[in-house]
Amino acid sequence: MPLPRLNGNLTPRGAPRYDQLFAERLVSIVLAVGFDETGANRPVDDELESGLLARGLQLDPGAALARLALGKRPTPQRPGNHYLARGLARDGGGGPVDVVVTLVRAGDGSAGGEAASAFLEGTNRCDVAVYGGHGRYGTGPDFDYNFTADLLDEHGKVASSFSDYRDLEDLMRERGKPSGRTALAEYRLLLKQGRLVIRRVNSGNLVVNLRNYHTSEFGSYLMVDQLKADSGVRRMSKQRFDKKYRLWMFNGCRTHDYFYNLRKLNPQANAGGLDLLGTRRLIYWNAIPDTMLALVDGLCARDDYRQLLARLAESNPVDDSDGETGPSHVAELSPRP
Amino acid sequence: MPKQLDETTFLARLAAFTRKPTITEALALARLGDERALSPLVAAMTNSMEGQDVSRYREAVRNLAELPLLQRWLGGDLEARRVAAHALSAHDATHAPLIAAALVDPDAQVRAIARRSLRAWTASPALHQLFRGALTNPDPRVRLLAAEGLGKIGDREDIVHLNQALETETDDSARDRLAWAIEKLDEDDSA
Repeated sequence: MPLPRLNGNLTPRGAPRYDQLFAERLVSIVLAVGFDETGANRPVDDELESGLLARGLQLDPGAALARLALGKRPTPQRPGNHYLARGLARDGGGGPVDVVVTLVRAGDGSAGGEAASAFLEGTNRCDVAVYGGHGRYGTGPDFDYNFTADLLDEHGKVASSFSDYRDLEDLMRERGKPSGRTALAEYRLLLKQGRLVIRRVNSGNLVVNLRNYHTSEFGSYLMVDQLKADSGVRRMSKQRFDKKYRLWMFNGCRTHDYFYNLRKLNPQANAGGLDLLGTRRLIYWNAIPDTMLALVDGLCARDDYRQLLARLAESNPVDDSDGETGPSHVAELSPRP
Repeated sequence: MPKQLDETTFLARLAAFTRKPTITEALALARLGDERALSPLVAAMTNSMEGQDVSRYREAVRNLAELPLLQRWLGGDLEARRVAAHALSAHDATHAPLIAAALVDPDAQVRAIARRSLRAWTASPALHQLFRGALTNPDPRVRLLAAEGLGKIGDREDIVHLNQALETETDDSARDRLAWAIEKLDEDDSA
């Protein structure tokens, strides 16, 4: 039986509920950049910051927090980079709307748990929450390394150590080849023999989903297995959300994998209306800053959803590397009152 | 110079790959052995996020970035060093001295990339030496990784080095890892 899922819509009708997003002539946005084991997130961090500055947003936590309070929005409970631009957007009557952006970055992953907490807080506190980074095979946003895996030799001594599932996959494939085993079969055999010892590092993970939608890929098993085995991992379904309308975008690979659980297992988040944007195929690190900023631009321009998807697709040209062609992003919208 | 292609064709293919990378072309370019392909290959590798191609881009980079090329690029200008650092792997014992040098490179980005290469490794005498040397690296994150590495592959002699490092270590996380490594090697020794 196929796993339940929501694929999202390429041609959604309607627009974000701007009257609610722009209440009190203010919109609050959290932009979060996830973690990559090879450091591919670091240029994204810089480009996103320059993009905000180029749009007239200024890093001014004091003024940003004061504007949030004046706009009857919750203020952040964690220190962070808060930017403010006055009158960057317009409301339905043409009046100026101020924009407050909180920028969260995983950086080198050493404070991934903190970054995850700041983003999580932003998903509740802000009108718009945007994540850019690894989709982690449909499991959820991630702000740090996932594990350290030690391969033991026949005497129990450490022969190799891994912190990146791609390195581990390479070795498993290489080791399994002479015996005709796949990387996954080799991984499972070594685990069973106690020769692969995995220490989980999941403080930076925000788990949305633990169904494995990518059963042909080694990394998906590793990711899902390790998160499932960790009873302390943070799950989105356990989070509390105030009742209000929100828009979330998850800009990682194939993040439409998140839609079903976000819609079905998070009643509080959905209670006031939750519009979701995600991707339907693989994306690339170098397109992430432009994509996140394109959403900000589109919202400031009061785009409808089709226009927003067109903007997002512009930054993510058609790519057939995973057999999927066509536009990059899809929408999964809450029912309209 | 390309081994099989004329200059114009090679440059055209390289430009096309830079605009729209594909895994087939990445492997083909790597096979040509022309080092001018290294930068676009590394860019394609680091840009890939998920899916079947990720490992294959890594394979293409490894195929092209042979040791003499890496040595030359890591001794070159800033851009070359930043590109070449991405091809370093502590799974390859011959890379150990290059990683050691990159860990003290004047450029923070090169150092960061080299530091990440130390998060995954295969035990070898060369790496053992690298971990020992890295106990005195100016970056506490490197010292932490060195302590962790020695705790896993070190021997009785390393206990002295680890204790010396512990006496002067000022970073809490690194100190914690040093203490863990000393305990572990003590236990191994008494087992």
